[in-house]
Amino acid sequence: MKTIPFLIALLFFAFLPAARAESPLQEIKATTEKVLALLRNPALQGDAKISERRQLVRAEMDTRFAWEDSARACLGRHWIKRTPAERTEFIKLFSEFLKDTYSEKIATYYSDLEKVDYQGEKIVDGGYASVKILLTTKAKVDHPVEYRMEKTTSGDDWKVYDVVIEGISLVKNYRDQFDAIIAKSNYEGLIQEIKSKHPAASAVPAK
Amino acid sequence: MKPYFILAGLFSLACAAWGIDAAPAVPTEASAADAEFHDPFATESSPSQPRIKVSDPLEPMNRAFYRFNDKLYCWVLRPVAKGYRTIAPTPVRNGIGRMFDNIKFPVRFVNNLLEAHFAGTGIETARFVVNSTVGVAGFFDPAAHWKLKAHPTDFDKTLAVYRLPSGIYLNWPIFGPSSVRGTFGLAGDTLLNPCWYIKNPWVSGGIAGVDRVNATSLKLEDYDTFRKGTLDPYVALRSAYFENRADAVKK
Repeated sequence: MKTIPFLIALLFFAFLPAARAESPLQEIKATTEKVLALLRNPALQGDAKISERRQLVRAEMDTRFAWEDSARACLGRHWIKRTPAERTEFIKLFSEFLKDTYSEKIATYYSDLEKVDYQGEKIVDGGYASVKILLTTKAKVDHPVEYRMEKTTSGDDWKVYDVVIEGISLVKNYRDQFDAIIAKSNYEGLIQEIKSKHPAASAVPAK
Repeated sequence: MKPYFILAGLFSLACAAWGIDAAPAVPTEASAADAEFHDPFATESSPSQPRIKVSDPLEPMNRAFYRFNDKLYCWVLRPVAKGYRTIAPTPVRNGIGRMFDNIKFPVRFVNNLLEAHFAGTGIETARFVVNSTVGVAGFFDPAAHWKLKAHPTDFDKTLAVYRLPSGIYLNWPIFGPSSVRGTFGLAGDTLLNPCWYIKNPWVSGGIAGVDRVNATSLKLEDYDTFRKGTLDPYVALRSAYFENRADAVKK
């Protein structure tokens, strides 16, 4: 009779690898809690720790964001016309630009946060998910945030390609800007514009 | 990636049915990495579909007013709000912000009613009664603790509920991003704001100024982040305005 619990255990472990892919909501929760924990870490407080803090937030963004598809979505119809090298350069430039802009913003905003309500997730087409959370600041102001995610090709992780705040999609907003800039000058003009906004990006090798 | 191809196929069928000539060819399996990113949540059915362009024929004028507002913010509003922030602590400024919201109760009452959103009308009325009394003229928000959450709405939303299109984009000096419908909305909301009926224009103007400075002081860094994170702030603001309005109307 001892074999039955053993078989059940075996069955359980056999299914474990399949169950390892967390739900999109769980992934968002894990990352959010991680960022909140590191921002509340007493060892990381104060202006002296600003670059260290920023570095850690950037690292979390790197693990949770699908930079390639995010950049691709922002370039919209202009993506097709770019060479593989140009695409690689654009993904790097754009992700650095986003991390630069938002890593410290996230740090200051989260320090003012009182509550995070993980409201729910919706999976469509099997590989895409919308995760809604509600951030409440200490001043009791609610900020609804929606993460749009995709399943990674390996199928065991979910990554963010778009963030929607108060109905404003980051991807749509950048796509409209890039469209306008390319229409006015050209793709090169867009690259110059990003580089001028983001001095460190000039160091990115333009392969 | 299978659903992607099915959707791409459906999209091409839809394009054919609508007679839309999607400029870039619908991707085949071989060029999937080359294709535009397909976003199942995007409001447009596909990014390659000819976009519903925001109508902005007055762009040169709007851009001039955008620059004016930018300077107005940097040279006047931000320094004043910064000074005000050093005098008034955050809880006080939050309270004052809530008081201004409380005064604008008729805006939410009438518009919730016009939108036939009767639950919103009722809750807003209850909030006004509770917060004006127990909440000391709206300085505190005890109603929120009794699960009476605010139901903000405005006349622009009401007009949208009655299916009025937004019309062209208008970026007004001082008032900022709007549309033809948004301008009527702003006018309607102003008429529903009790402060408008104060006889002395200096007093009513002063109140509006304090409201603006107080609101700005609570999100001082927002505009800087916006400027830092945008490559064409004018286009970014215009796009965000229409997105945010569309989202508000949906709710």
